[in-house]
Amino acid sequence: MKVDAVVTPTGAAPALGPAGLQDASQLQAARSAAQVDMLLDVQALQVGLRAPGGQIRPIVRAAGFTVGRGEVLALVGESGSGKSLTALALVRLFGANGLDPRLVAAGRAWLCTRSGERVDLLSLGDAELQAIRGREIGLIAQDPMSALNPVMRVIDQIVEARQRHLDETAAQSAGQARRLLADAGFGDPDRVARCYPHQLSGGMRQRAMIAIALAAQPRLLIADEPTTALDAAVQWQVIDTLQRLRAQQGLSILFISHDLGVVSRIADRIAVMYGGQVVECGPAQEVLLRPAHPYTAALIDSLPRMTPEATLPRPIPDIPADPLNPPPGCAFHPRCAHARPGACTTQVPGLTDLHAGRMVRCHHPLGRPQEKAHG
Amino acid sequence: MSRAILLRTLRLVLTVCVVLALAFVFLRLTGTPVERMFPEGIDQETEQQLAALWGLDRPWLVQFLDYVGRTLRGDFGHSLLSGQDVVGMYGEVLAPTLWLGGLALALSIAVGMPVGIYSALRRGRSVDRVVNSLVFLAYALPGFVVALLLTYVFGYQLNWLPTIGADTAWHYVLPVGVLALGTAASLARYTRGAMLDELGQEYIRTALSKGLHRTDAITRHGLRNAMIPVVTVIGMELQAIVNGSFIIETLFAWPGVGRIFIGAVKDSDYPVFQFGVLFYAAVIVLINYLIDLCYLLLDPRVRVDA
Amino acid sequence: MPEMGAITPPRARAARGGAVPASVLVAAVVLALIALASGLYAATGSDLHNRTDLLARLSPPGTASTWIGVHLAGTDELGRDVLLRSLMGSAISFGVALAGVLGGCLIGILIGIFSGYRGGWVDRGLMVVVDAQLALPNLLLILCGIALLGTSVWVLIAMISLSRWETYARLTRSLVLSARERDYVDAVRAIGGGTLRTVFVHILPNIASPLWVMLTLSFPAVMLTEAGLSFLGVGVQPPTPSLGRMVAEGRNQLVTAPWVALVPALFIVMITLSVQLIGDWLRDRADVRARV
Repeated sequence: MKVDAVVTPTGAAPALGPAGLQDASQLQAARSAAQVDMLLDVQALQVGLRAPGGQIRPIVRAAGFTVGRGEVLALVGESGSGKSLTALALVRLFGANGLDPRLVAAGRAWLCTRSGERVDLLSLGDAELQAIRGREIGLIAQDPMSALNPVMRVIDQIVEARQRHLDETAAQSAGQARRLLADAGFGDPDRVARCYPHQLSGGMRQRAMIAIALAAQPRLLIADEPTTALDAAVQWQVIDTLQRLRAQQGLSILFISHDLGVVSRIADRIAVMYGGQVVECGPAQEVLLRPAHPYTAALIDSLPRMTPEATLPRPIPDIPADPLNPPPGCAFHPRCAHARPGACTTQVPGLTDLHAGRMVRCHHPLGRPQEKAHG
Repeated sequence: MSRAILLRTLRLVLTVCVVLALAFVFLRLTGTPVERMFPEGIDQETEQQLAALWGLDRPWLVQFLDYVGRTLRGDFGHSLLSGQDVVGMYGEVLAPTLWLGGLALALSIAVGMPVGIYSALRRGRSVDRVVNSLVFLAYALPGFVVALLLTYVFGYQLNWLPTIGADTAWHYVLPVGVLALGTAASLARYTRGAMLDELGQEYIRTALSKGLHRTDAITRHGLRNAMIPVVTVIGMELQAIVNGSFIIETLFAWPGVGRIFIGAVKDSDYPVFQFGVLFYAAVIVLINYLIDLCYLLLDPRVRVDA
Repeated sequence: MPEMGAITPPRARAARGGAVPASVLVAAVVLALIALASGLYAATGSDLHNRTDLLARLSPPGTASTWIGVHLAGTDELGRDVLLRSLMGSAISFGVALAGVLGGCLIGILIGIFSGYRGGWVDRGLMVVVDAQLALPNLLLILCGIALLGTSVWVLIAMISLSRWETYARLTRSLVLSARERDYVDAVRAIGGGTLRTVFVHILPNIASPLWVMLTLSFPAVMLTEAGLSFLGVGVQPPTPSLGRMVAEGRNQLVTAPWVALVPALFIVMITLSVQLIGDWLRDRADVRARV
C-alpha cells in the first residue's frame, strides 16, 4: 500500500521528493514538530465497499489532510468523488442511516481530544467511538428535513445530546439548549426550542441541526453539504452562522461541498478530491486563483462568472471517474486537457509538495516551471 | 391540541347519531317483518293486528322520533319472536364478548409487535425467515380451521383445555388465542415493515452522531416513529377481531353477543338485531376514537397547533 | 414498455425466465385437481352426495361401502359420503366465491368509471361512502344485509360483491382520472370524439393485468367469508352442501368422528392456501414487470 504524505500548512514543510514519501513512520517524525495546532490529522484513509462475495473494493484510496484548530477545511469534488465517504469514515457513520455494514475504513485519522490525547479514530471500538461522537466531533447532514426526528421537539433533540455526554440536570441542559439556539442565530430561541422540525423553514432547520450537532460542544464539526438543499438566499444565513461560531468558539469545520462559490466564502484551506483521491490541497485563495491540478482548473473554469469580460463556462467533458473502477494511471487523464502520453496513462501520481503548504497529485502540475516531459 | 381532541369527540358523537339513524332507516326500508316471518302469507286482518301491535303502521317520522326517544331512555324494545326485553337478553352476554375481544386485541399487540420489531432487527437472518413463514401461515389459514384443529388437538386428543362455554379462566385460552392469531400475524408483518422503514431514515444517523448507543437510537428514535403507522393498523385489525368474534363465539359456544345476534339475523328479529348492530358499531367507533387520540399524542404533525 | 436497449435488472430476468417456486407449482397442481374433481362431479348433476345410508353413519375413512366401493373420507351422521359432499361443497363454494368476486369486480369497475368520469361532488361522495364502508367490519355489514334480505344464494352473492367492490373501484377510478388528463383526450375532443369512449379505450387494455392479480388476491378472502357465513348458518342453506356448513355440522362429532369436520376444513385450507400462494407470486411478478 502506497502511503502518500500530507504536510501541514503551518510550520516548515520538509522538502519531499516528487514521488512523495513512502513510509508512514517517516511522515510521523516529520510532523512531530508541527503537531501542536493540529486538531485532526488524516493519513492514508481508505474506504472500501464489501462486495457480497466478501472481497473489499476500494473507493477512497489514500486520502490525507489535516484540520487545524479554528480552521475550515473544505473537501471539494463532484458527486462520486468520495468526499462524503471520507468525512463519514471519521465517525464511521456510513449510509443514510449511519449503519451501512458494507463500507469499511482503514488508515489512520488522529484526533486531538479535549483532554490532550491523540486517538486514532479508525481503530476505535464502538464504545469509544460513541464517546467521541457528539462530544469531540459533530455532524450536520445535507437534508435537515429527513435528518431530524420528526416527532421530537428541537429542544429535546439538543438536550438528548447534552445528557449523553455531560453531567448536568435536565433543567441545566434545557437552559444551555436555548443558549445554543441563540448562538445559532435564532432571535426567539424559546419559541424555536418548543417547535417540531416540520414547523421550521429549511434554513431554520439547518441552523437547528447546527445547534444540535454542537450541543455537547465538540471542537470539530463535519458539515456534509449543508447548503446544497437550501435556497441561495438561505445558504448565506447558514454560512454566516458557521463563520460566527468559528470566530466565537474556535470551532474547526470539515466542510464538504461541490459548490466552489460557497467554499470560497468560508474555507481557509481547500482539499480537492477526484476519483477517490485527494488531488490538490492548499490555502483556499491559492487553490482557487492559482490551481495546480488540471482538474481544479477545469472545475473553476466550469463555473459561470458574472464579470463582463468573463467567457462562457466550459464544462469538463465526459463523466467523472467511477472510484470503484478508475482508469489506469492518473484517474483524471481521460478528461484532462494537459494529459500527455507516458506517465499520465500508466502511473498513479504521488502527492507532491509544491511550496507553502500546497500539495498536488499530478505528473505535470500547472504552473510548474519545467515543461519538458520527464522520462 | 385540546382543539383537536374536541373536534374528534364531536366527530364521535356525530358518528354514533348517524349509525343510529341508519340502523333505523335500513330496517324500515325492506318491508315489514311480517312477510318475513310468515312467508306462506297470512290474512290481512292478522297482519294489520300484528303491525299495530308492533307499531309498524304509523308514519315513519313518528316511528323514528319514538325510536330515538326510547333509545335515549335505554328502551330497545322487545324481541319479535320471544317477546323478551332486548336489553335483558343482551345484558349478561355483553361482558364475555367484550372480554374475548379485548383480551384478543391486547394479546395480539403484546405478541405481534415485539415479533415484528425483533424480525426487523434481525432482518435477513434465519430467524426473520422462520418468522415470516409462520406469519404467512397464520395469516393465510382461516380462523375457524385453526380453531377447529386446535380444539381437536388440545381439547379432545390431549384433553388439556376446555372447548365449550366460558366458565373458567381456562376456557378463555383457546378462543382468545385463536382470535388473536390472525391479528398478531398481521401486526407482526406491519410492525416489521414500519420498523424497517424507520431504521433506514437519516435521523437515525443524526442520533448516532450525537454519540447515542445503537439500541438507544433504534428504540428512542426509530421505534417511536414506527409506532405511528402501527397504531393505524391496530384500528384496522379491530375489524378483523369483530369479524372473527362471530365465528369464534359460535365455534366455542361462547355465551356472548354473537350467538344472540346471529340468531336474530336468521330470524329477522329486528329489535334484537338492531341492538346488536348498535353494540358492535359503538365498540368500533369508540376504540377508533381512542386510537385517534393515541395518534394525536404520537404524531405532532397531525395536531393543529395554535 | 421498456425502451429499446434498456438494461433489464437481473431480478426481472429471473422472474421472466420462468423460475417458478416449488410451492407455487404444488399449489397450482392441488388447485387444479380439486377444481377438476369438483367441477366434473358438479357437472354430472349427480345426487350421490346426498345419498344417505343410516346403517353406515359415521364410518371412518376407508370403510367399505355398499354403493361406492369405499368411502375414502368416511361418512357423516346421515351416512353420506364425506368426500363426495366435500367435492360438491367445493364446487358450490367456488361458484359462490367466484360469482361474488366477479360481481364485486363488475360493480367496482362501473362505479369507478362513473366516479372518475363525473368527478366533482359525485366522486367525493362516493369516496366518502368507500371510507365509511372500509371503517366497518365486512362480516357485520353482510350480516346486516342478510338480516334484511333473507338467506337466498343471490342475496349471499350480492352481499359478498358489495363488500368487495372498493379495490376495483379505486383502481378504475385512478385509471380514468389519469386518462382524462392525457393530452390525447383533448385532441380527440377537438375532432369531435366523446371523452367517455376514449376513456374506455384507454382503460380496457390497462386494466387486464392488475385486475388479474387483484382477483386472485381477493379470492381467498371471499371464499373464507362465504365459508364463514355458511359456518354461522346464514350462508348457503341446506340441502345444498357447503364446506363451511359441513364444518359446523361436523363440529358436534369432533370427538367421535373427526373426519366429518376435518375433511371439509382441509378442502378449504387447500383451496385458499393455493390461491393465496399463486396470487402472491403473480403479484410479485407483476411488480417486477411494472418496474421494468
